[in-house]
Amino acid sequence: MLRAVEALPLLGCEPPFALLTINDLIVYFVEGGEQAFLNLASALSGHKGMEKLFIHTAPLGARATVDALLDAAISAGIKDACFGGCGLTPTALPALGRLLHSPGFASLKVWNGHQDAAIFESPSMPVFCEALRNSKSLRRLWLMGVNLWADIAAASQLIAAMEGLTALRELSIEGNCTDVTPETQRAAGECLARFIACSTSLRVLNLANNRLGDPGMTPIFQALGRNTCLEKLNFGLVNGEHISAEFAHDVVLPAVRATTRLRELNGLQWVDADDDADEEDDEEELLPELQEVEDILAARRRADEEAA
Amino acid sequence: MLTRRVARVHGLREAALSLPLLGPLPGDLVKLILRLLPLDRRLRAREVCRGWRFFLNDASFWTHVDLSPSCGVNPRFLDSWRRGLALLRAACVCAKGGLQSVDLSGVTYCTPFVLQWLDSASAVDKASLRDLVAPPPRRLDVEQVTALCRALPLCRERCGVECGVEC
Repeated sequence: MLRAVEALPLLGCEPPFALLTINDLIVYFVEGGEQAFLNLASALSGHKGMEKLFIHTAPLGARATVDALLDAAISAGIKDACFGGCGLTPTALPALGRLLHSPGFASLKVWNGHQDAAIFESPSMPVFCEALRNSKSLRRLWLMGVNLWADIAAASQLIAAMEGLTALRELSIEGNCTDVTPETQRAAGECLARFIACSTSLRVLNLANNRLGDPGMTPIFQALGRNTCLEKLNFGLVNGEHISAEFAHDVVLPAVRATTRLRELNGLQWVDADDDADEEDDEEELLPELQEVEDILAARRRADEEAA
Repeated sequence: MLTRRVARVHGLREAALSLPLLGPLPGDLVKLILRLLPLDRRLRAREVCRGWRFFLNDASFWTHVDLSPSCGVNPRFLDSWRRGLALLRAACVCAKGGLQSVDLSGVTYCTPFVLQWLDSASAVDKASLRDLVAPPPRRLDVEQVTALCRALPLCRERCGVECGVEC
C-alpha cells in the first residue's frame, strides 16, 4: 500500500525528481496522524507550478492541520482544490476563505460525505462570506454533502455572498437535504431563487438530492424567467421524490418557455429502481409536460449546433 | 557510385528548392508555414511529392511535438492511444535523434501513455528530450513517476501524481 508520505520526495524535488513539476496532486490518506499533514504541508509550500490539489479521506477536522495544509496550498499557488470525505468543520472556514482570496484561485470542491457535519455555521461564516464575495476569479464551487440547510440563516448569508460573483460558472450544492418541512424547503428555494434571478454568469447549477419539494422548487422555476445565463439545471430527485402533472404543467413548463438560455433540465422525474418496467416503459411514463419541456430544450440545442 | 548518389541527392535538393511549394512565397516563409502545420498534417505533407518530402526531411521540423489541446491535430489521434503512439513514433523517426520537447497535454486516453511511449523510445530520443508534459487524464503513481524521472534525468517533466492508493 502506498502512502501519502511517498509524495514528500516528489514535492521536495529530491533526486531523481529535481526537474519534476507536479501539475496536479491527488493524495489519499489511509494512515498518518497530524504530523503527516504537517509534513505534507511543509513539502507542498515549497513546490511551485502545481495547479490542482485533491485531498481525499483525510481527517481535516483539527484547525492546526487544516490551516497548515491550506496555507501551504496558497503558497504553492494552487488554483483548483478538492477536499473529499475530509470531514471539514467550521474551523476550516477562515483558511478556506484565505484560499478563495488567493490570486487566480478558480475552483473549490468540498464534499464531506455525511449529512451530520455542517460546515457553514457562525461565527466563522462572515469571514468566509467576505472572502467569497470578494473573489474575482472563482469559476467553480461545489459544496456537496455539507448539511447546508441545517442553518437556513447561514445558508442564505452564503448564497447571498455569491450574488456578485461575475466569474462563477458552475455551482453544485448536491447532497444537502432539507429537513423536508415546507418552511425549510420554501426558505431554501427562495434564497436560491434570489441568486438565480440576479446571477449574470452562472452556466451550471446542480441541486440534486436537496429534497426541495414543491415549496422549494416553485420559487426557483419562477426565477428562471429572469435569468439570462443558466444553461444546465439539475434537480436530481431522489428515492421517493416526484413531481405531479399539475406542478409540471403550472410551474415547470411555463418557466422553461420563459427562459432563453436554458438547454438542459435534468433529474425531475425519479424512476423507482425496483420498478419491473423496462427502459422503454419508463420513457413512456414521462409526463407529457416534461416531454414538451425536453422537446423545447432539444430544439434549442439543435439550433445551437446549426448556428455553430 | 558515391558521386552519383551525391548528385542524385543534390538534384533532389535542387528540385525541392526550385519547386513552387506554395506559389511564389520565399523559402523561409514556406518553412514557417510548414512548421505551423499540426503534426499529423505535416507528416502527410511529406507524402505530397518528393520535393516536399525532401524539404520536410530537415530534422528541425520535428524537434517539438505538440499534442496540446490547441495543437490542431485531428482529434482521432488524441482519443486513441494506438494512433497517438503511432504519430509520436513517426515524429521521433523524423527528428533523427533531435527530439527536444513533447507536449501531450491534449491527449485524452487514460492509459499510462507516456510510459508506453518511453518503453519504445530510443536512447537517443530520451537523451535529447528536455521538456515533457504528460497527458493529464492519467495521473501517475509514485512508482511510475520515479520510472519516468529516472528514464529522463535531463528532462523537465510535468505530470499529475496520485499518492496513497487505497486498497
